Amino acid sequence: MPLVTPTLLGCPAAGQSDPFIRNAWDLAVYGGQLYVGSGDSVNNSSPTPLWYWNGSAFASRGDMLQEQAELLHAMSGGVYVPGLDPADGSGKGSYNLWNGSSLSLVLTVPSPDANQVDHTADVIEWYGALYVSAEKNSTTPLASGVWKSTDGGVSWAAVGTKGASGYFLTVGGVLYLSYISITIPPGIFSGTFLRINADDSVSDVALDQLTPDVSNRLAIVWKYVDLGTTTVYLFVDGDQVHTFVGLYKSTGPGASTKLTLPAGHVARDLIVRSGTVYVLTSKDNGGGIFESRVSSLDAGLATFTEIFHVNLPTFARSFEAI
Amino acid sequence: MTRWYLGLGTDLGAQGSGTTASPNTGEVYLYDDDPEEISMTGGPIFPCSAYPVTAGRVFPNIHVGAGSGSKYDDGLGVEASVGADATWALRFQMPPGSLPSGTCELRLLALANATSGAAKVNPKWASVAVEEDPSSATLNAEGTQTLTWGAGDNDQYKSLTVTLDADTPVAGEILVMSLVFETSGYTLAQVSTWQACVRFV
Repeated sequence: MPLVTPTLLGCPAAGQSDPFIRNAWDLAVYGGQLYVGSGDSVNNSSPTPLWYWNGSAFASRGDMLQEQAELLHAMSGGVYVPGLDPADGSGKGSYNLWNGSSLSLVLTVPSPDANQVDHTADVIEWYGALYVSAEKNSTTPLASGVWKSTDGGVSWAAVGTKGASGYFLTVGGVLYLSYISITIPPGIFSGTFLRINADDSVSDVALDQLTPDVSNRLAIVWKYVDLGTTTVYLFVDGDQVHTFVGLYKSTGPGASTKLTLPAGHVARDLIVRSGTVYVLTSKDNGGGIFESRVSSLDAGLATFTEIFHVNLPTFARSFEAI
Repeated sequence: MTRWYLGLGTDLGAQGSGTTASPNTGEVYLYDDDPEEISMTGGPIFPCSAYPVTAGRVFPNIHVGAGSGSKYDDGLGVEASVGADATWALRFQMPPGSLPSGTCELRLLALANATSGAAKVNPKWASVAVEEDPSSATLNAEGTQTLTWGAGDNDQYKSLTVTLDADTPVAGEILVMSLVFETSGYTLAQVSTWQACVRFV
């Protein structure tokens, strides 16, 4: 087992005394540079800087008017940061976009009333369009949903009529939304899936079709890698810290398998490089030592081979490779 | 060679009561799985683009040595006794991730059939990011450098290194350079052929 000693680059949000705000929720690589998401949506830590590594230190691309940068999506348009608890005061959902030269706030869908907090839980580029999943904590029926823009985020149209807000994933060339079903009056039931068809109609997909050992749980897909025919995804609880539930592979609904992780480990993140899936897992070894391990998956997406591991006072939540 | 980056987290401290969480939360670590690659040295990085801006005074050229072996060197041609400041526009793509920790320098090799004379060259450059306009970048001059030919230097590689510290090179960006051959003090009376690279030493 190759235990290595990594080099500490620094702590982007070192100025925050509350460690929860400093959480490195996600890392992303864009333009050959490393980006870091931090923040705390519960403790209302807005604004949230968009951190990046400039080769010698962590610096900010600018402040984002949202409380937490939980996901960083490096896509063709730049680094997209879904607006988890936006704080721009517009009453609209939003995301921030670093396009390689400037950081901009992109407003998404309007609130149906004035007294609510909107989230843009996720944003994805898909076949030339942008889709957002917007959450509206209101009493308006079906206020949450999937919205689509074909003009780069200028205007948005509702997709389907489901009151769904969550995280996107793509499996077998199809766009899905993993979300926690909410009915009005507010009541949380379970995670489930929504299939977004090519004609932008939507249809339900039962939770156990993509997470076969889970039938009723407040859980969602947080991160995934799409290999073309097969997708590997990280299923976590819908709590603020995304407690690990399982790591799965799937070629589509009903064709999904849970992967067996290294003993005692939970999965934290996954990436793909040159067709190989790499998984970050962690294990609490006790005594204030956490092992964080990076492993590759074989072509059959079943066997983990360790690349390296580190032992540090807390676990690695996110990773990237350049 | 892969650079792995790890971002640390905590599950403690949600709701703003994080005093029990590790003080290491939020730190970002790097592990490079090829230690040979994380030395301070790096390069050479050759120009991905080279354009002779001052037509007639600079041009693509092949220096042909007098020997009978491998005697051809193509490169950046410069006229003899430069009659007015003449510029080659060069672009160097910096590697992604982290740059080597060593000093960034421009290395110039020059060939001329000359045994006397001095060439004057001034690199002016800036680091330009993707989605930025290189033609609008303000270039920073390193100052005039001198390379002198003497007896026996004909057809031999002459070397000139210039520390690039007038701006800061940035990983993933493009080092945009005007390599200006200055007429003032330029006494090399032969055509010369130059090869440029950026390296970290």
